[in-house]
Formats: sequence, structure tokens, C-alpha cells
Amino acid sequence: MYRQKPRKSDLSPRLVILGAGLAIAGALALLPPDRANAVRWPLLTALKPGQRAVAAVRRSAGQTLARVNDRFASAEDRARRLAEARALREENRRLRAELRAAQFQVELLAEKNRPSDRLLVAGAVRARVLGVQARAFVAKTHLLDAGRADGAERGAAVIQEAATVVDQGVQGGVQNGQVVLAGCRVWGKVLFAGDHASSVCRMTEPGFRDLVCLAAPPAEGRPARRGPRGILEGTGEPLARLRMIAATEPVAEGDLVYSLAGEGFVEEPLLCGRVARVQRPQGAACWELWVEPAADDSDGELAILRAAVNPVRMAQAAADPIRK
Amino acid sequence: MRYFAVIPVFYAAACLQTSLAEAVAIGRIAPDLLALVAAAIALVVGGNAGLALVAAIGLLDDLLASGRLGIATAAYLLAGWAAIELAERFDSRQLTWRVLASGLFAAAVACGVGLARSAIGEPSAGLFRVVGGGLGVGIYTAGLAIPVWLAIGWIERWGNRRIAAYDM
Repeated sequence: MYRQKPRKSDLSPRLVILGAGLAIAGALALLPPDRANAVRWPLLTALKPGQRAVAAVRRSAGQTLARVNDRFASAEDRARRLAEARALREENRRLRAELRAAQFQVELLAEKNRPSDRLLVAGAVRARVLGVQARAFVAKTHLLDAGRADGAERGAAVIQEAATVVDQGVQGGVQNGQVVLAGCRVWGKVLFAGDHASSVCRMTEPGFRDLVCLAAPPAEGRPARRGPRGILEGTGEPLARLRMIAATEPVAEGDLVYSLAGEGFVEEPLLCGRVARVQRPQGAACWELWVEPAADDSDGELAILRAAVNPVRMAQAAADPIRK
Repeated sequence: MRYFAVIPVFYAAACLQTSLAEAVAIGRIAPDLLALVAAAIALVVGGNAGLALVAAIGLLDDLLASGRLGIATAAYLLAGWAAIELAERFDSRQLTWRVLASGLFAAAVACGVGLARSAIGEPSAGLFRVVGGGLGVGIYTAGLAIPVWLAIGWIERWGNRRIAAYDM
């Protein structure tokens, strides 16, 4: 009666594609890892230019976004950033100045550490001040000859009159007239050098005389400027007297006084003290200046300044083949 | 022949996925651009051709990832087949449906690939993390799909107007 409707296949093409795809996926899953990597490698290589382009776009987009953010920042935010920038600029300027100063210091130190080619260099003989007991002991043991060069006998006037006796003498390289330092400042002079001990006097004691020069105190960033020369002498007063400075020279209280004793072999000038009082007697052609010693009064360890031949120069001369 | 036009889209999606996805990741959750493209093809192109293209994207995903080949292909095939079947039964032109379908597609692919890899003994983050991460990927991808589907909708409307004008 009725013709049977022709039966359609239940397997739609989509299911076929799905099945085939799953079968291919299963086959791919069975590939060994090295084969799988061999398949991946060309694709990853092909993606490289695109990835680079994306990275470049991302970078430039980030920069643009930052610029836009900066442009749309509020006035308050802008003011805060400007203040921060100003503070950072100030900080940079300060740090730059500090760096310059540090570099200058480093250069100075390097200059100091460089072997000097001077013929004479400064040497110092460390000396200890002998007390009364010590002087009595060395006198008993016939060692106290301080002042013998001046014709004085042991135990006589020299010991009594000399203000101070130190435990270094001619054997240690001490000679009459050498400058005595306390720290890096002029303390006094060697009056008489004996074999093992010497008598020294302070700057303010009678018998002290030294050639000095005046200098204006160093201003900020400017070294002391050397001025006129004069004679510094001890008078027994608490202050030493500076003479022979022409009245036409500009002098002021507070000016520094430097010894010229080390000139030629001492690199840094030796500070004696500073002008404490300025006087000019009526009609006098020179100032009468009174100098406060820079070295303190304590009789601690002293150093006697002496010139020595530069060992570097001697070594160079010894090694020079032409001289040989 | 006209389906070859999707090759630049595949290339761009692969480049963006490999170089940009990590940059926009939230924690360990990153959007799956390849899954988004596959969902769009499944819903817009549909049919057997759409399924074949989805399988091709799955293969591309397989090649970009490390590990055994074929797993992502299978996951994309199954998810694509389900999406195409559903798209034929519902109105797939609604934005909400499209966005939801994209999110579900991405989540299904992420979960499927993760579970399959852990099932065959490949290094995996664990069942809970795989499922949780897959759902996160689905939500993130759905969010990203909104502007994509809006753009596709505008293109479709523009194309329909042109066809209507041509018919008149």
C-alpha cells in the first residue's frame, strides 16, 4: 500500500568530520615528542615576526598611554610632580657638588701619595719632654748633656735655665735651631742640642726667634693668601711678638702666622698661631703684632722637624746607568 | 577558497595569544584568544566548514603548547561541534547568547585540555585548579568577547545592508 520511505543514513557529514578529527587527534597524540617538536618548530618560527610586531606595538602603546596620562594629570598632581622634580634637581646639584669635592680630595691625596721628586723632604724626630725626675736620673748617669754645644757644663745653668728638655739629641739628628712641632703646629725651637738630650724653648719664651709670614684666613673654597714676612720672637709674655711688618701692609686681628722654617722641604705651611692684638706705636714704620700660639701648652710628645735627603732621588741617582 | 581568508585571523590570534596573554593575565588566569576565535567561527560560519576550521584552530593551539599533540584538537572539535549544534537550535545572533557561548567554549576547552593532560600523566595543576582555572579563563574570555561580538555584529549589519541595497 504505502511505499516504504527510503531510509536516510544516520551518519551526518558533521559527525564524520568530528570522528575523523578525533581520529586524527588520536593519531597526533601517538606521535613521539621529537616528531611533535619537529612539527612545532616551523610554526613557532613563522610566528616570530608577528610576535615582534606585537611587542613593538605594545611598547609604543605604553609610551603613548604614559604621555596621555601625563597630559591629563590634574593641576595638583602636576604641581606635586613639578615640586618633586625641583627637589630632585636640587638633590642632584648638591650631590654633584659633593662629588666634585670628593674628586678634588682624591686628586689631592693622589698628589700627596705620589713620590715627591724634591731633593729635600721633611723628617721628624719624635721627642719626649723629660720631667724633673727624669732629668735628675739622666744627669746622674752622665747622659744629660743638653746645652754642651753652647759651652755649658752638665748639671749647671742649662738645666736650670732651659724651660724644657727633650730626650733626643745630636745622635737622633737634632741640631740647634730646628723647629719643634706639637701636632702639625709650631711649638718652639731647639735651643741647644746635646748628644742624647736637647733643651727646647716655647714660642713665647725668650730666645725664640723665627722667620714667619702673615696670611689672611682662608675664605670658603679659597686657600690662605700669603702676606708680608716678619720676625716672630718670644718675650716671656703669654703672646709672642711679631715684628718687622711694614705699617703699609694690611693687617687685621685673626690673620694667621706661618713659619717659613720648613720652606723648601715641607709641603704644607707650618702654622704658628694667629694675630691676637694689633698695635702701632706712634710714628713707627712697622706694626707691633701679638700672636697667640696655635699649639697648646701641654708638654706632651713633640716632634723636631728636620730636613732629609729624598730617598727616592737617591735611589734614582743610584739606578741611573749614565752616572754609573 | 574563501575560508583561506581566516588564515590572517588565525595568525594574529596566535601572535597575540603568545605575546600578549601573559601581560593581561590576572593571577594565573589569562584570556584564550584562540578559543574566542574558534567560538566566533563556530557561531558565525557554522556547519561542516565551521567545524573543520575550529579543528584547525585546535591543531594550532596544540602546536603552540608543549606536551602531547592532539589533545587541544580533540577538545576544540568537541566544543565546536556542541556550539554548532546549539547554534542551529537557538537564535545565535543575540549578543548575550554569543558572549555566553564564547565563555562556555573557552571554559570547556581549558577544562578539557587540562583534564586530558592530567589523565594521561602530563604535568598538571591538579583537578580542582584545572576546573577552577578553566572557569576563570571562560569568564575572562567572555568579558573580552563582548567588544569582539559587537564588532562582528556591526560588520554583519553593514553586510546585510549592502545585500539589501544590491537586491533593490
